[in-house]
Amino acid sequence: MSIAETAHDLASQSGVDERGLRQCDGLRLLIVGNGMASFGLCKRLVESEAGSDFSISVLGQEPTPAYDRVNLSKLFTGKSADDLQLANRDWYAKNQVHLETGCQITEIDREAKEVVDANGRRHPYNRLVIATGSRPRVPPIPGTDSPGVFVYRTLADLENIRDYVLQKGARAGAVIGGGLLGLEAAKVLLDLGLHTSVIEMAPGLMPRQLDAKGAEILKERIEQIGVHVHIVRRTKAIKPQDDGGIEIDFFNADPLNTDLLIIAAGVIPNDDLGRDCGLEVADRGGIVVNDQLQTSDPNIFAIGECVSFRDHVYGLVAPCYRMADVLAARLSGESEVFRGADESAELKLLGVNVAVLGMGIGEVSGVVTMTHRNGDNYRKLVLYRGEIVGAACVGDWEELPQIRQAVYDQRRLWPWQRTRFYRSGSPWSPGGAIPIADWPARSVVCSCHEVSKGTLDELIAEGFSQPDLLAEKSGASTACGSCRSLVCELAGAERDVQPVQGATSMLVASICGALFVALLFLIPPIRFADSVQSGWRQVDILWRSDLARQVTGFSLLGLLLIGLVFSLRKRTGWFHWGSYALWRSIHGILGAAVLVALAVHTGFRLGENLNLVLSLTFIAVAALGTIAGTFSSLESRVTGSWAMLIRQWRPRLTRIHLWLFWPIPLLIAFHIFSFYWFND
Amino acid sequence: MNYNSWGLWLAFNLLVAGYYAYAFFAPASQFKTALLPGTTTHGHYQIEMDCDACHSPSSDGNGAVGAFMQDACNRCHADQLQHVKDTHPAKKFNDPSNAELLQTLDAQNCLSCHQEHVPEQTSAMGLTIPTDYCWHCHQDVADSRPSHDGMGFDSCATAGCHNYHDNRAIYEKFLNDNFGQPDLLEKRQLPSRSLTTWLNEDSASQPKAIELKPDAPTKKLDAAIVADWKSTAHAKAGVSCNGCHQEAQVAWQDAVPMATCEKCHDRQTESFIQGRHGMRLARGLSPMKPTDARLPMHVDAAHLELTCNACHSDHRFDTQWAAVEACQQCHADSHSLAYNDSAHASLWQQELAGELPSGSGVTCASCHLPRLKDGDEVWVNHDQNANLRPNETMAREVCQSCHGLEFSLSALADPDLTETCFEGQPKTRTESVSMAHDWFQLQDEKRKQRQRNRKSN
Repeated sequence: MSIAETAHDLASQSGVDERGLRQCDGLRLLIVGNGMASFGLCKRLVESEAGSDFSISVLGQEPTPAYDRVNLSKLFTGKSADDLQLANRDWYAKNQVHLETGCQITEIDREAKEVVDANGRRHPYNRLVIATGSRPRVPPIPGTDSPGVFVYRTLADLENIRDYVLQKGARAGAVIGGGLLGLEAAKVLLDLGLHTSVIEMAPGLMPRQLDAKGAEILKERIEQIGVHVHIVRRTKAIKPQDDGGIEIDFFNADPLNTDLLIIAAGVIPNDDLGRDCGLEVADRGGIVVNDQLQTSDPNIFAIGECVSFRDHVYGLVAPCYRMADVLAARLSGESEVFRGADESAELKLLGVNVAVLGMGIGEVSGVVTMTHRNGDNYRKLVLYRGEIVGAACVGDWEELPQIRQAVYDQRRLWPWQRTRFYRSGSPWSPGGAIPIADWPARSVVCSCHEVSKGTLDELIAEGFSQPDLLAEKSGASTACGSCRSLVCELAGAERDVQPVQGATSMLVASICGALFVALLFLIPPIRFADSVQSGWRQVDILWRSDLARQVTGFSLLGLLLIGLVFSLRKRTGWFHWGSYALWRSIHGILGAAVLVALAVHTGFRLGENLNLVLSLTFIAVAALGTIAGTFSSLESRVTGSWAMLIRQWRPRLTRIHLWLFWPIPLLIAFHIFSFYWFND
Repeated sequence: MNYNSWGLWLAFNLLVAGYYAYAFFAPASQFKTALLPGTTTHGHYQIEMDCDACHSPSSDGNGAVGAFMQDACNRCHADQLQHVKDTHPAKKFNDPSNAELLQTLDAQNCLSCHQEHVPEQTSAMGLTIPTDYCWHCHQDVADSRPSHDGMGFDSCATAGCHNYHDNRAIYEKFLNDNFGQPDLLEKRQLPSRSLTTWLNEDSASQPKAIELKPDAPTKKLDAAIVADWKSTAHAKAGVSCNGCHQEAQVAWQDAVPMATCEKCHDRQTESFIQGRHGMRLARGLSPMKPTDARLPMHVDAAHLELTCNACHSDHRFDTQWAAVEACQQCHADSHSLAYNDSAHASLWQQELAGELPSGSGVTCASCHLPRLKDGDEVWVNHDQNANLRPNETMAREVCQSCHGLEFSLSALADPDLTETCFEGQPKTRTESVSMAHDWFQLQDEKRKQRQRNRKSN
């Protein structure tokens, strides 16, 4: 759908004038709620300069401007409330966003296009955005209103918890809920120095994200930190004790005594405003929006955790920000739509990395999962039709950025990558990240001399930090020079990129060579003349006459030997005439020429027995050479992960090229010897 | 490369070198296959693993370039060429008037036309140059033979007219002499073998008073064997058990080597090892087996061995069995399979039934192991290939015992008749006989004209 059509579509659906939203200068945009989604929308509108089209007002219920709720648990580990603030009041003022905090909205008057706050003040709007977020879900257990029972949502909640701990001298705390929020809350208790327990109803921690094995490992690791984890616990009642403590009774276990209890058993969308004014609300809660984030009232939009999109309530910050992105774009007149968002999560829970990316098992039928466990680390890949569609890990996974990219691209996983994953826990051999500083130590920087990044790191640590010194000490970039820029980058110097000599001719020679290899297989043997009167008799003498065969054969051998001078240049110390790259391109050109000579010598006959072995080996060497040549000529041209891939493969290809060459001198010797031995 | 790689490199190369070096110096065996540069011709493939058969200098080689291989050819084929009265012998080009032609085609060197291991270039008779090679020297043939005007040079050898080497059955005078013969001759009979004749005679030339007494060790004596032996020429000629099984007072041997047979049957043995059946024995290799054959063979015969005993089994040496059934044990090509339904076979059946005189029937052996006259003697040539190089030779040696030459040449030139074992009539008639006749008449005419001219002058 084109942008124009979308705009038209939007205008007709929303019932606004045909000019669309972009033209609504000076419209009053009212945002109810000042959480992360609300702030995200403000920020994007301001940045897109669409803010000037609207007069923006934000009405927040909490006393402070929007703060980073995700990192709330850091409040007791050095961060202040101000640090967590996403932007201070000056920012709102500077960007002409009218912000009112501590302002609770109780009603939306859709007729009058006004909202009413708890003080009875009416706030008019042209466009209304509901971003009221969610509130903790408190399960229907008797005693949840007892003293010492808290929820975990706001800065105020955290302050209350801290005050209670200090006031009562609490020594033990418990959390009901072993999901993301519950574990965050457990961290808070741990940071406050409490003896902490986590109570989860499901058979494992983070049941919405982790499979049984992952949950098991997470439990083990969290228990190592000192948190007591009680799984499969159905809470019966919460009973305040005389000593000020709390007793938690279970249906299926002995009671647990604690001083303080946090309930973190999920959230409920704050959809009451919408429900009360007649907007469509989903059965399981949440204001229903379409893919334009519009509610059933065309002038009212909703984003964030209060929203139900396709019967789904998003509880993570990334999808909420995505909604803010889409809405900001739409308000700016763009045609973007919200198609749902990735609920991938990468978290550090109690110091343990937990990542859940892309699809889980249940989302599509026919997925295959692969898991790898190495000590405390658990890794899982979810494959659908051979492509990576999801991943999860508990514990460290240094390739996580690549995995994320692979899940995003739905990259195919080849059988050998599967094998490697089972063996090593990563589908790729070391390497793949973009900047060289982030390359793993084992990855190759200089493919000519096979110098690894680790070697260079060591040299830099020893003080050889100048690119030239580094090159001299390690040999890196002294051969073909295509990794010069990488060496400079690693040494922290300016990229000093010089075009590699002969790279273009090498590329052309390699491509021609590959073509010749294909032709050697595709072209049938050249036929002999079928009449002594035919002029072709003068040509086919090339393959009939012993003399001609010797001439073409030894010419071929000569070309081969000259081509080998390159190997001499590479492998011996005493021959240094001409640059390495120059010799390499000559090697490539001669390699291609050798294939032509081979065709002339054989007339496209691959021969039988010894001759067949020789010609096939010959062609295989050439084929590998053309690929290695192509890679080497591209090495200085490409950047990023391709550069890494090429550097990773070029030495391998070169090595196979060399290995295949091993028997050739001997085979040629036997070939020539047999000619003279069996000839007169 | 580090030391490990070098070590691996060395080991790998030693392995390769060892394999090929062994292939060079190994005795004839499958190892030699590694060195075969291309499929060997049908004439030589049986001995292809014995590289030295051709690729080794003989003691009498003169050492000139190209001479080793030439020697090798001559070792087996020189006598044959001489025997067939080679039309283009090397010595023909020693004549200064012909020597110039050698610049076009080195006709003194077998390899000019017969290379080995070049299957792509090889045609019938192991020829490895295009089949119109006659053109090189005979471009102007129509000047002297106007009847040849417009004939393709690739047809010289395919219509039963000319061969490069063996023209015994198709040289002009012979063709003319045999002009006008009917398809079926009046007298149709193969010559009788000298041995048969001798056996059937009760003449004084036979050794007398030979006591037909088997002299084998008692434990080896078997009534059936003795009975068989008594019915043979061996018994009649005084060749007792020990004659073959314990010659020269060495220990008794159950299996009799070819060398023993050769003592009496030298011509048969000698010719046998010149043909396809015995050529491996000639090189000291194991006997030929049907499994090694390129022609279709019966599967159950795959591992039979081609020695004298293959056809002349046990102690009866039944030549009737050897003439047909022995061949049919192995051969399963269409020509062989068609034999039983052929007119030739029914003649043989009638001869066996006594309805026709001896020599009236035509067996496999009649054509392929022909009875040759040598003076008074009629012997059997055991080189089954001797009259197939090319098959016109057979016309003179065999077919003409019953058929006219023109019919014979026509039949032999028709590939379909080969398939049906000569059941039917040739589709086209070879014109060479009548052309030769016309030519001679013309010459005769001219001669008479000249005589008349001289007289009138």
